[in-house]
Amino acid sequence: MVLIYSKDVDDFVNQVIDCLEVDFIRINEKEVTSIEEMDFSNDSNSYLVKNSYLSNINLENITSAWFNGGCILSDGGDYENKCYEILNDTFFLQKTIKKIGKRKVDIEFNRLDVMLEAKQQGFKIPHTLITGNKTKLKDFFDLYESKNGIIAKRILDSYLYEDDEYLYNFNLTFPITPTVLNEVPNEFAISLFQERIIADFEIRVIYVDGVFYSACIYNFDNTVIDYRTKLRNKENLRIIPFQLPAEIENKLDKIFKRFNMNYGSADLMYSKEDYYFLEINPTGQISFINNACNFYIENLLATKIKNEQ
Amino acid sequence: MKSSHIILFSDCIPVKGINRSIICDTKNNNYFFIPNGLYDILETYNGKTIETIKEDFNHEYDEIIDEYFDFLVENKLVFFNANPNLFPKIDLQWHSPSIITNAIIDFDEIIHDYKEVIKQFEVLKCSYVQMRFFKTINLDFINKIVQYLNNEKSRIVSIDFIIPYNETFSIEALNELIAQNSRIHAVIIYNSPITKSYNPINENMGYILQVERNILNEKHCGIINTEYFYSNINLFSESQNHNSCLNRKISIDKEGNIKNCPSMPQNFGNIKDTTLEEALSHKDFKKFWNITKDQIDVCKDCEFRHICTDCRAYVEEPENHYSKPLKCGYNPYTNEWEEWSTNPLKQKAIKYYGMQDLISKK
Ligand code: SF4
Repeated sequence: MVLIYSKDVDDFVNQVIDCLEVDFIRINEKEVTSIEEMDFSNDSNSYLVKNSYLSNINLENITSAWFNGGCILSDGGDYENKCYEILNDTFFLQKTIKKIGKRKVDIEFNRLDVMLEAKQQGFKIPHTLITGNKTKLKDFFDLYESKNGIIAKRILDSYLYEDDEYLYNFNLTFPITPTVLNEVPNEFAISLFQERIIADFEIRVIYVDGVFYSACIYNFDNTVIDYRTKLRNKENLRIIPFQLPAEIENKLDKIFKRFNMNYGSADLMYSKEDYYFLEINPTGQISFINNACNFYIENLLATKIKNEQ
Repeated sequence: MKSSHIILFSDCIPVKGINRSIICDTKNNNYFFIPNGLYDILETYNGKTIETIKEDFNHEYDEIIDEYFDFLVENKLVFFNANPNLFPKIDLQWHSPSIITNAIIDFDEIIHDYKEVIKQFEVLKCSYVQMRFFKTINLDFINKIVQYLNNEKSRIVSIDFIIPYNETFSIEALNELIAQNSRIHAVIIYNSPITKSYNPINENMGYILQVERNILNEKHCGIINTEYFYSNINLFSESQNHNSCLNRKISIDKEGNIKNCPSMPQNFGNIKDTTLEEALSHKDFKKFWNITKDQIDVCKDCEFRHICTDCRAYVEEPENHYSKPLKCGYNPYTNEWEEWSTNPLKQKAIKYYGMQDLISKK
């Protein structure tokens, strides 16, 4: 039995499931999975769950797991959800089965950490300033004003931040214009700024247990800062297979291994024959790359989780 | 920039015909005509500089070469980069975990046990279904089918209904039905007083199309024209080794007979007493699945062969499995489209299939 943790709607997960041909249980964000019992005695363990498709599933018997986002949902409230999450995570953490991907809680890195590791590996990184001070930001702005300007990015991977009045969405990368700079208060919440790199194209790398699939994301419209914000307007984009040089793959392999990741994606930029490192993600949208490049990554992933080694 | 190496985006795939070629833009469902001369240049010189090409032609065709590449740049089919080896060709592999990828169910007098059939689709991993009605039906019936899919959490993600026009139901009611059911891909209402297409109701899904054309039976199928061309990577790669209409298709005709396609003569049992799986295990069921356009007379010389759907049910020479589709009026040797039904060379086949009526009613 294979365990799959996923978001509710994920085309790629559906494609993998179609290729599986073995029993599986899928734990989704918005679908209740009830823990019926966890029973640990001196001679046996059993962990029974059920959802609206399956009942009496003994998770003690799972042979491999794929963690691709999502979390377990109880039919109780927040407190029970938290209990479920902790119980479930603890249970899988101790199991020595084939695991692809990781639970969110096991990912012990942040943007800065990853960037410094990439630099260590010899990648170019965009000049980065982290500050909450307007004067420092102004200096940084001036430094790149005559070049390609600077942009602001999120520091944490939690995309949303809520206070009493507003819900902030940090998902987007945006340019710091003179107007933005003007409006910034003298002291503000710590933020990350980067020199803007004008890339020939971006590269999205999908990493599955040592195997690389890379795509060139070619943008005809150079005014767009972050192609993810433009995904819905695909007219100006082309996504084609890309062959990363072995040397770059080796560097990325080291970065993924350093953070104990065997599944994820990396974003790079290619500018004048240099590879700039942007970020890595433990999950991510794979479908649009996989389909556009005719990669059939679902076949490899299904084989990996079926073979349990 | 232009001094650098010129690279065709690998999702833009050239296909050579006998007289001219096309570049299939598989991302944008589009294609561009190019002369065969440019096809040959792209085959040999993809990843080289324009200067190299000009030199190789002893600078005799500089102007034409510039014109060619201006056209490619303008249409965003090429880009420039100094390292062409970083850009491999797109792999034209095609796989599907589904035993059956798409199905057709025809309804006339008999109302088949659709629930039973849908259950069997689940086992075959079939996700795309088309239901054609040759007799008036009411919206309630469509609703019942879709509700059944919802209740069963069916794997069917896309269902098309082809139904005759009927004064009693309104487009508004249909709209509402579609808005609530994201599985409905299209509803085509034939024999309508007007021809009209409506915007999709759910992003990329829920198209309503009214057409004046009347559809009396399955003999109306199999028409080949540019409207039915489809330039995407899935169809393009499937067509490399498989038939672009019949591969992994199963059909139930109006009598309940299980066939590869409702228009084909051979049937493999009736759904009343045969399961789809049993029918599929018959040695002849998959006979046409791997006939590619590269093997079909005329089509093999046609530049459209990887974006065109095929038809093996109605062909020019009924006894020949590799004969050109009867209802295609295209001639790749002259690059002209003609009305197929009046072509004197096709009259024998038209009679053979008993289509004279259908044509004179046009
Ligand atoms: S000749 Fe064949 S491939 Fe060309 S348009 Fe007609 S049916 Fe399609």
